[in-house]
Amino acid sequence: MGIIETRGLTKYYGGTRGIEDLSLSVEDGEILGFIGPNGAGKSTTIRLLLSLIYPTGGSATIFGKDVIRHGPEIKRDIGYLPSEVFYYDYMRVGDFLDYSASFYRKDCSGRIKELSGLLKLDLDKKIDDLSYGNRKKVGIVQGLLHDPKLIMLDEPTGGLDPLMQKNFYELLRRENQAGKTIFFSSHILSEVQKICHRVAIVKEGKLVNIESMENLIRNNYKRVELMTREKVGKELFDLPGVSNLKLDDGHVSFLYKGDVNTIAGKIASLDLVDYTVEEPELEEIFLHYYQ
Amino acid sequence: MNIYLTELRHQWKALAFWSLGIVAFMVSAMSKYDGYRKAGTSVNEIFRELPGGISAFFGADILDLQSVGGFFTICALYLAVMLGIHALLMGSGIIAKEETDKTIEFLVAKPVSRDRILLAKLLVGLTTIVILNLVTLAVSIASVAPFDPGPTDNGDIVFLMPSVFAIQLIFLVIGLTFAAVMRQPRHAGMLSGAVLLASFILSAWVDISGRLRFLRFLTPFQYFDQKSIYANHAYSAAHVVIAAAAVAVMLAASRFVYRGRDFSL
Repeated sequence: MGIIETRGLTKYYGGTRGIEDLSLSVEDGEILGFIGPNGAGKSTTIRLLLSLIYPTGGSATIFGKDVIRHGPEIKRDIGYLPSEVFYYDYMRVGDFLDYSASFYRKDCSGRIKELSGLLKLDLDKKIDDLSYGNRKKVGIVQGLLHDPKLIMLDEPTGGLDPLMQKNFYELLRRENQAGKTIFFSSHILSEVQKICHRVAIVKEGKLVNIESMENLIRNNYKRVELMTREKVGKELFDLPGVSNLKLDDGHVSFLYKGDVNTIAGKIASLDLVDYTVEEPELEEIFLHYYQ
Repeated sequence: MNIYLTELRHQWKALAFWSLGIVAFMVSAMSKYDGYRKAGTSVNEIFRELPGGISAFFGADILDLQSVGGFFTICALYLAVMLGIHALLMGSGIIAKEETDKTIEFLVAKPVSRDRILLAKLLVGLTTIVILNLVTLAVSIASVAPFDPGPTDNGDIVFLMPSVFAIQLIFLVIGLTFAAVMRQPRHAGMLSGAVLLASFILSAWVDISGRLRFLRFLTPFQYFDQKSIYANHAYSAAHVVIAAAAVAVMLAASRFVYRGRDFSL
């Protein structure tokens, strides 16, 4: 039994699709990336799991308990960071975190001190006076202060500067090593790649694929762009795994899926001015799943 | 308990402002009364000479407005409207604000049931209306004190305050119910405000026109009409029962809908 299990979870807002027939399992101790473009249904799924909204069909359990019937009970062990944080503007950060801690039957003062120190959060400031990034930090601390077994994050790093993002990932890794399960939604593939063990891909409300990070990278396309001194013939890239090949004088671009050594060998044989090998855009990965 | 205490702490400032408003109203009303008395004018005459049925609206036909207790009854009509407005803003705001400010996402992610959230909010609302009612009672007794009120006058003020409380309670629950059941809770304050205004106008119209008296059953201001309560020195048991039933039905509906609704984020 997974920490999170959804069976045929479906949500319609009136006639508008939220998610459709989503069956998913998040295993104990893993970091699962939940990835898809905006509007794919990521936030809807998380809000259903937290009973902020109720499903049109299907069901979900967390720690083996129904999320609607046992909502308050299971939430004792869930930490949640929403994509956009909205808190009580009139409160000071310290008072807000104490309020947040007051919902749990444990002393959270040590964790509040530790986490706010790590994220360099000023507890005396009013929430209203905080920048977006600092509000996000308040969100991180309030989500983790009760040492939850399951951490749910909805596009968590928006607004954090790169250094803070690094600290944040470090923090998540540490939490995960301490046995916490993490469910992490994002529309940025590289973000998910940094940290997740497995990835679930959603598009238009449906689960398209779920697989290990390793497999996803192995099976993934790379976008290759080359600038060569001499014109290159089309036949050079007549290889399995090459698609969308475009040749324009000394400029070559294509998508590649397969053993990187093969393509690296080909590229090395050319007289290059410049080259880039990039991850394709998320949309391109979705294209792959629809092919 | 934590939600209750946190919310209540946040209400002090607003309560202080409303209390100041009540002080200002009572001071100006009683200085008017003082003016009439000093000029030797009969307050009864002034009100009885008002055109149409307006004198009936002020209870000039049944009250001795010359007495400080009688004059206070007119003030109580206004106090009921003022405190009713506070109560409906309180009731609708305390529920709707979590959704309009989107803080409900924080609250629902905590280990707390929706029933407990609703109960805590209701208790905060009840506490504030009780406090404001007691402040009004104290301010009223203090502001009539310079006019040599007898023990009966002070007793009358104390006797009238539950009627003001009943109006407060009804509008608190109307505001809370609109906010709990509406798809767009941010409109709850406006809608319950419209209900209060309509109830007040209907109540006044029934008094002034003297016609279609059955419409009295539609407006809480007639259920707890301070001038009849003062004149008869009694509350109508039927009105109290109907009002209590209406409050119970609205609370049950709020609970039912609030439990199962999708929060708009």
